[in-house]
Amino acid sequence: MSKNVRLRFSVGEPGRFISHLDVLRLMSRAVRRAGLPIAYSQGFSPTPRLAFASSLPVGVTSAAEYVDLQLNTPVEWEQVKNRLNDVLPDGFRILAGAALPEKYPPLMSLITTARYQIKVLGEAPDLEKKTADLTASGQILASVKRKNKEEQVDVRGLIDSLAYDPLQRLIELQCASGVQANLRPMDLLPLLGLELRDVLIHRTDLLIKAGAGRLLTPFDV
Amino acid sequence: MKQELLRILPEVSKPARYTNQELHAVHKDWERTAVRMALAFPDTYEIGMGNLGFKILYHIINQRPDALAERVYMPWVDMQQKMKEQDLPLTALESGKPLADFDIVGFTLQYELSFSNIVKMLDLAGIPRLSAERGSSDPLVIAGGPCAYNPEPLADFLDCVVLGDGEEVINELLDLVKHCKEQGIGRQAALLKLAQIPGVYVPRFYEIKYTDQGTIKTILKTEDSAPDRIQKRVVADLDQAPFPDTMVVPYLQTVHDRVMVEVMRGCTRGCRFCQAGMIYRPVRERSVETVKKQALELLDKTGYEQVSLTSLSTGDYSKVERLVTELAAECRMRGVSVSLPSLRVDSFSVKLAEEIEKFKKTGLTFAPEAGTQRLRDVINKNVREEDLYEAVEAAFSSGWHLIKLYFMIGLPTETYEDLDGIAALARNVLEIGRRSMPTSGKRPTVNISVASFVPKPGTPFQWEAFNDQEVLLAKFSYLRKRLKHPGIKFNTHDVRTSYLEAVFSRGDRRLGRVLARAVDLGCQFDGWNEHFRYDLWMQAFRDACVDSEFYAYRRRGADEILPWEHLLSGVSKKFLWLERERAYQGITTDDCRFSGCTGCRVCQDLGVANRLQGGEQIE
Ligand code: SF4
Repeated sequence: MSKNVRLRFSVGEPGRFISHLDVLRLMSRAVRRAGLPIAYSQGFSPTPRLAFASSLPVGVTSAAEYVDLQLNTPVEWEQVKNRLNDVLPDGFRILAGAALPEKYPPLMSLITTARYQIKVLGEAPDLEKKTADLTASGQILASVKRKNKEEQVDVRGLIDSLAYDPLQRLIELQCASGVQANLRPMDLLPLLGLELRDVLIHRTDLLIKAGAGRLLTPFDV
Repeated sequence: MKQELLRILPEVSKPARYTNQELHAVHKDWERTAVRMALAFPDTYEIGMGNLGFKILYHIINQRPDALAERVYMPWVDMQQKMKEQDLPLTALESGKPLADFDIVGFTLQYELSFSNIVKMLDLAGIPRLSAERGSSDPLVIAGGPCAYNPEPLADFLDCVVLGDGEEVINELLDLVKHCKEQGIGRQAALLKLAQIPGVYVPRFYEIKYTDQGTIKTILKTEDSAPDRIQKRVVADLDQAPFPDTMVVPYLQTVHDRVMVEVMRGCTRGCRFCQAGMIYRPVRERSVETVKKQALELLDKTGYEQVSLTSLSTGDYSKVERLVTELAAECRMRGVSVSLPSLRVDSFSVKLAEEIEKFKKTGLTFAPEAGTQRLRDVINKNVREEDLYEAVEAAFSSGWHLIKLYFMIGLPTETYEDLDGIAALARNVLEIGRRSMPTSGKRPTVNISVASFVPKPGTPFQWEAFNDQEVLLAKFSYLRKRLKHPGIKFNTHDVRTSYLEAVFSRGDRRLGRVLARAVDLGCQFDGWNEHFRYDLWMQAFRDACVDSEFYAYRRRGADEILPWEHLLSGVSKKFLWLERERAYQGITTDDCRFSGCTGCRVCQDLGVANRLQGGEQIE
């Protein structure tokens, strides 16, 4: 048993439609409903000690979101998981967990990489060629929103792999995700001749780059 | 959720507004439920979710095994566009069924500027706009809420209107609709039966005749069995009244996104401009035990981080100190806070606020309403300048740095001296802040919010004229010059919006044509600055040959028949007129909770009484 618990959770319908701030509020309320002995921050307005690994772009579903909980008294992670699943609304589900040591680095600072599956719904000619061309080129200019301004940015360095599987009609993407470097998968869509309404984006993994090209999950560190 | 809807959701703003899986939303078996009612809020999801009356009705209806209630809000304009492209009608959240499939569609009339949204929602739902055009397969379109005391501009659109506390009427109404449905009773016959329920007004059974001057000549019943006058319904004992044991917890942040518990209903302070202070009489308090029990139960079920103790003036609740102290102690243990939405202007209120906001001192709001003692006496706002200074001094010295003050301009008898009074108050409050706040840290700030006075039905000022728009603009710019001062911020309300509110609040049935025309021209979301189209509204008045100034600028005479003459809040017209006269004489009237009955007649005529938890019961 541990006072600190890491949980992996999924986001489906209609959870994908709300902002990161809404998710934070929703989790805090679920923790309170579950009656978990959550610790509160000191200071002017005490908030429950929940720390998220990353913020999921609005509209994207996920099977790999993570949140760290600090409790006042130790509780088995399985119990935390079950009690939360009893009270979470549709679209949120705790999938797995692990106990954390007394001291641990904030997860957000560790995450470097995400994997996405982008399901193509409508017609999508030449996607195999387009993805191949993109990965072959040395520079990929995407228009990216930064501080409410559209900017042309070279995102080639942010993409680890990009490929289209015509049988499953799936684009598989592995790219930078985190505080140092980040790519929103939707920013690639225009380069592939796609619009938001043509696809469903799903995050499958949130990973940490270790040495020698090794990738760890948040449960491995 | 419907597939077509799911497809368009990613393309609209705030899609979670239109999803139906919120925690504690009630999903009932459509086929097996006898009566189905849609609770329709004529504004966005975020605003509608903050309405407590809706939550109460949702709870009462869904408790019945034979009835279901679902929610529907006005879709934002981008969603309307998508619905149009896909040919989708307006649907209720829970079942996704079209509004037209319900037995009853109940709108809440919160403010006049949402009237256009009501008509628009009927359009989006494909329900015929006019009561006269609806047939046996169409839902019954009903309404309730504060604007029900003059629903006349909407009379042609509504099948019936409920006056007073909805929890008193709703079960009788559902029973009757169920009965009519089972017996196959036709629409007209059903409406006749509905008109027999006390508090239910069926506009089509009354005919209005006008004089050559345009005022009302007679209000005539067209059906003998309809009542001459319709009197509001009232919950006698709030402690016994049904209250939700759980609340829907939305996915996205909404207005009043917290637990709300109503500590009392009604207010007898007697401010002469205030409609709520007249129509919700008498004062009925819930016991401390009940409020605490409801608050804690709701907190456990929802997980909310805050509970708000609501009423028109929670500082007046007779056991407020005990309630706040005890509840705040319980809440602190759960990491939850308490909030008080409405504070009186005195140092006692600051002490209360201290109790619950030990740490987070953002801003405190007071409403002196007028700038001089003379004018405050006229409007019976019993706040003295000393009270205000004491309150803000207490606030500044215990750590608040932002004070918000609410005022109105255009009140009866107002002169420029009263405006100077507002400026003087603002500067004095700032000065007190500079004196009483520590010199290091944040500087004191005073926010002055000024709105235009709009005369409301059922109040002592229901006969008064709305100030000329030009005059109001001149007054605003006069104030702006005098309030140009570092540390003072000045906010105003749009004069043209207030003008439209003034027209509709005391309008009659002839405004129905204007409303229909305005919606045809594209008016909607009038309460939203970015959507308010004054030009289109003025065109609608011209097209319908209706003179808006007749409604806004005209002072009514004592013996004029008012459009809401037959709709009674229980406060007698005699009392209102007497209060008006006392206003002009600058004579104040006491709060009957403490002084004894001042004769408004609600208690006698409705067989109720002020019920205070302090034990006092004033007969
Ligand atoms: S009837 Fe008398 S006691 Fe009752 S609310 Fe009116 S003034 Fe107050």
